[in-house]
Amino acid sequence: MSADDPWPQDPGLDHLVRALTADPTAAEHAGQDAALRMFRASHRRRRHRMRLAYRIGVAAAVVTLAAGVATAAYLALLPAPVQHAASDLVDRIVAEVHHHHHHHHHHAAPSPSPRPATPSPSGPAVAATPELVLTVARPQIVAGTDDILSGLVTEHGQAAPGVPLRLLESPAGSPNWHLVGQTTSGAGGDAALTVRNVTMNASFRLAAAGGSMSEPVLVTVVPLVTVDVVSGPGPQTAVVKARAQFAEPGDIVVLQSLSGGVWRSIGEEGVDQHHRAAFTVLVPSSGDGVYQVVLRGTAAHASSASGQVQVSMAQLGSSPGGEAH
Amino acid sequence: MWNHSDAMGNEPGDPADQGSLDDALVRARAGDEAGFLRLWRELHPRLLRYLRVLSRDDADDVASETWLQVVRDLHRFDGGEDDFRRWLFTIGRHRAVDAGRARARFRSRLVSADVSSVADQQVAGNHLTGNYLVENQVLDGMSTRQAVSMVAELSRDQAEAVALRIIAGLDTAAVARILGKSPGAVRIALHRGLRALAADPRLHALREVNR
Repeated sequence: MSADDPWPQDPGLDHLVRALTADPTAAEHAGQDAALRMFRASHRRRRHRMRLAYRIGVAAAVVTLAAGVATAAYLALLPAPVQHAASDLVDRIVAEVHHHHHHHHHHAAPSPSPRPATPSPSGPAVAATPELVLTVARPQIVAGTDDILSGLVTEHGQAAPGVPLRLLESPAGSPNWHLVGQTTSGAGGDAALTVRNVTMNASFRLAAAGGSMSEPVLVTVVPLVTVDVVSGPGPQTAVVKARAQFAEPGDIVVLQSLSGGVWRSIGEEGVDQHHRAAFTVLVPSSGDGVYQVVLRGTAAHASSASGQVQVSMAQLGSSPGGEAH
Repeated sequence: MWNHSDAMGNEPGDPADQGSLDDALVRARAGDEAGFLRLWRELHPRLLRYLRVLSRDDADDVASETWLQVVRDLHRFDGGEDDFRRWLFTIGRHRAVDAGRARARFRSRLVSADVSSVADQQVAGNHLTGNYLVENQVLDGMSTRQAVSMVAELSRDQAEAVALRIIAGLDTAAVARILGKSPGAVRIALHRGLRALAADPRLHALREVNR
């Protein structure tokens, strides 16, 4: 704390500050590998975009220069020797762009011959390899709902309409990609695809002929967790029943109770094949017990919390089987 | 214990924890993984604790989303360690607000499930014994988690001032910018928050964490 900060004199506060700033635990560093993967993926995507932007920039420069020189030649503003030199310059630049294009599209058919000594821009056209970009409307959705994916197709930096596209999906835990939809890019090179009833985390990518693929995008799902409370088997007990649709058998749900404004985890269970789990709790003899159930995140879904339920003896009544919501 | 100006006591000799954060920031912006790891190891635990002050339910998820935005926009970031720290916690705060709104939406759509056939045969004794053991373990030692919980019980303004100032290690001016308040207002909130904590009887039972 700096000298101008208020700092009530209390030895207990020193303990508190020490606890708040204690060395990190192993659990707090547990996400390191995932963070590193995220960093790598982001850096790869950025390098890809930079290469694309570079190609677009070079192509735009060629178009501008060629247009300028052609206009000048047309208007006969340049003397004949200069017109020849300008034409050679444009030829060389265009050939350089084509060479660059081959170099960066190693999955496209490479040119078997070295760069011709006198390339001509009017020679055979280089086969275009579409650049595909895929984005997702909502990276996180409620499990079992739909999401919208937007694609953009460009060729040499220009929107590419009419390109057949395939949408591939790789569900969590699967190394394989399978076809989930097909479409064709619209007039602006764009495409919108709706994926329906997404029940587990999945990556999606666009693919086009010639091996073009977009970077994958991840959609994570949040299963809804519902809770119900009934009287328990013993006196002053209740059973908090949880159901997490789309959770896998064995996924962990944690029962938390609200104490002093803070949620405390007081028990955990794996859900059964019906996505259900139950917790037996002691009901306070006076006042309410407030509970919620949290489904822990897995590779297949994000974590999710239920609504709160209040439990009191008055609500449950004296006979077993009563319910509180 | 953390110090604002130095590394926070990680394993000695871990290459990921060597060098200044300014240097790590420069390297991370250039795509260097070791630089990024240095930043992450230094700041992620602080971010998690700050987010747990705001919401205990989804701090891990919100922290992940925060770092996702950081790695996406890192190449556009321009500044030093202090600026980066402020940027990180600003993003974290925004993502926490978003998560809170999403949580409210999900909860408003909750319906009661038909779970009448769920096993009532759960053995009450097992659960209750387990529950009390868990609670006892938590209450046994005053941990970082408890300290964070105590801060979380303050009013939102006070809790954020204390968390950003102490946990995040930001100066008053940076906290004021994040919260959209004047430095004077932040000092008042911080002072009142600390005074409230000092008056909390649980503070006197506070014991240092043994690791």
